[in-house]
Amino acid sequence: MIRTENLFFKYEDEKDPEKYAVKDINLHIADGEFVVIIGHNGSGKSTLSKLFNGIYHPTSGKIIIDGLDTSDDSLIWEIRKRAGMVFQNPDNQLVATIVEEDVAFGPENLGLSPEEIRTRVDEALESVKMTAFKRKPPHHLSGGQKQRVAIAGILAMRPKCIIFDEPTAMLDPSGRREVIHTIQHLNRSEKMTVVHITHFMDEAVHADRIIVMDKGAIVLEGTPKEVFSQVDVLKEIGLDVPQVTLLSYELIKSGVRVSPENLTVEELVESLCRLK
Amino acid sequence: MSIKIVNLTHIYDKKTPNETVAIDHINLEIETGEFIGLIGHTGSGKSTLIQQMNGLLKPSDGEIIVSGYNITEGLDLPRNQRKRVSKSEVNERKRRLIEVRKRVGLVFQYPEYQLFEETIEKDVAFGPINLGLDETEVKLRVIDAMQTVGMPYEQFKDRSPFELSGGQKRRIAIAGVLAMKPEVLILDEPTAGLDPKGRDEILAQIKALHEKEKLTVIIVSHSMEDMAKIAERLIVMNKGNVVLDGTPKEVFRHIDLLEEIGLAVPQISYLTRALVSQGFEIDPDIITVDEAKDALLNVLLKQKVKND
Repeated sequence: MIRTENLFFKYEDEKDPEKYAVKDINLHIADGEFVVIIGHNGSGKSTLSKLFNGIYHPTSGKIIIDGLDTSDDSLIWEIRKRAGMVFQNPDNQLVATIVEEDVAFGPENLGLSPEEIRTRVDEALESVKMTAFKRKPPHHLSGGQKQRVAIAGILAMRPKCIIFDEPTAMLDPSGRREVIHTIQHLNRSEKMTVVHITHFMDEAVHADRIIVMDKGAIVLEGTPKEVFSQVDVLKEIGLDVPQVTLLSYELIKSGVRVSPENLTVEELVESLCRLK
Repeated sequence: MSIKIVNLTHIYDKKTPNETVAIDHINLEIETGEFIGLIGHTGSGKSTLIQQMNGLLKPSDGEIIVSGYNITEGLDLPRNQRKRVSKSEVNERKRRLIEVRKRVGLVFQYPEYQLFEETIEKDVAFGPINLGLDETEVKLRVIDAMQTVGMPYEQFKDRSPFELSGGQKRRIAIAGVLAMKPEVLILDEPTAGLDPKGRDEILAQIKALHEKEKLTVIIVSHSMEDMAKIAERLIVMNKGNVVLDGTPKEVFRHIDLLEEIGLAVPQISYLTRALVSQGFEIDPDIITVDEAKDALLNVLLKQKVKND
């Protein structure tokens, strides 16, 4: 679905000629995959997501989205149709005064027939479980609900892939749960390719693959268990690990033989019960 | 500086179809030097409560007494009743309310959106200048506040606040409030949207400030992990009421209640509960990774001695 080759990107106003925001990224994200990209602020993760969507063009190297090269400007709308993007701030993404009109904004711009738009809007709202709110003004919704409407707006474009750029950063715990459930549902039931950028580590636990970025480059890549067991590396670059993984790591350092790959409470309890 | 809240009620859009009770007869006492975590999901009334505490919002009913002075008294009376109070009395009340605002510093959510000056120095100085302080004192305070948030004055004073990263902007915004030298510092989700490193830095700075200056701190937060590590007392709100109030350990015992109102406990609390039910002899009140490590090492060591 997404492939990058020797991808480099430098901001135009960057004075330091050596400083790339994204450095030599070679990635292949398969159809239907759920990939989480983590990294602290300034690690290049958001820049990378904007490259995927054709908002930025590579300084050198290539990005191929579903067979289309993002540096070809004539393909840009087709690329954005296939790889939709959801951003951090729910208030900045909604444009209409009624939920269903907002969701219809994308398909209307595709020049579809009214019947087709109607179908797509209804399906999209159903998929994010917001049908009951379709005639409500967006400003009456909670943060989590607004984000789900923003996701519905993307779904109505029928993309193959959605890139989420810290969609939960501004939400409270229940809003975060709603949005995470929606993302998981889209990946599992609707086979949507998902690229999810976050710095909440607990949101990365269910990914197929985690990519850790630092200073514009990929520093770790693997399944959640493989990545989180590298507690030293993650701490070094200022990232969190789930508390259970951190505790396992501390116990191992003190000579207790538990698995370094415990991610959930159940796994660690089982691990400890075997020692008892 | 103590804050006493008596029977406080706040109703938005009173006598309209949108009438909402945001705060419902709350009683609270906050002592000088406490470090409090205020928790509750969106709409539980916590933001309304903190805006009451420095007189930004006038309660519909009840009293807020800051350092023995009732800040809810008088000013809000309907015009016809206000006449009964002499003009000098009204002015005196206004003066004291301003005094309270000086002493209760409030850092809003996403305070970086409130930066507006062309240099960082001017932005941090805005508050103290408005307090009517002289130039030397303002400068001293600005240097001090910037130092406290880890943004050295000489290095940053002439830069534009808009060139900074998100975490740095937030620290400058907090410095602006600190430069007013408040005795109570209230922060509404100071770590929202920050990455783990930025979050840890800000929390460590607030903690250090609390310890050094004996500042009373109230942090509104969604992060139970952070509050387990840092707060001395937790106040949990739901639907305009205080539902739990105690040390983090006391509060996190109520896993079921917290989940019911849309909150959670730290992952370690879930682990502790599961281990206790599996027969591990550990303190059921463990809430941090360090405590869990020590307790487990202890249990496993005893086990080993017994087996040998």
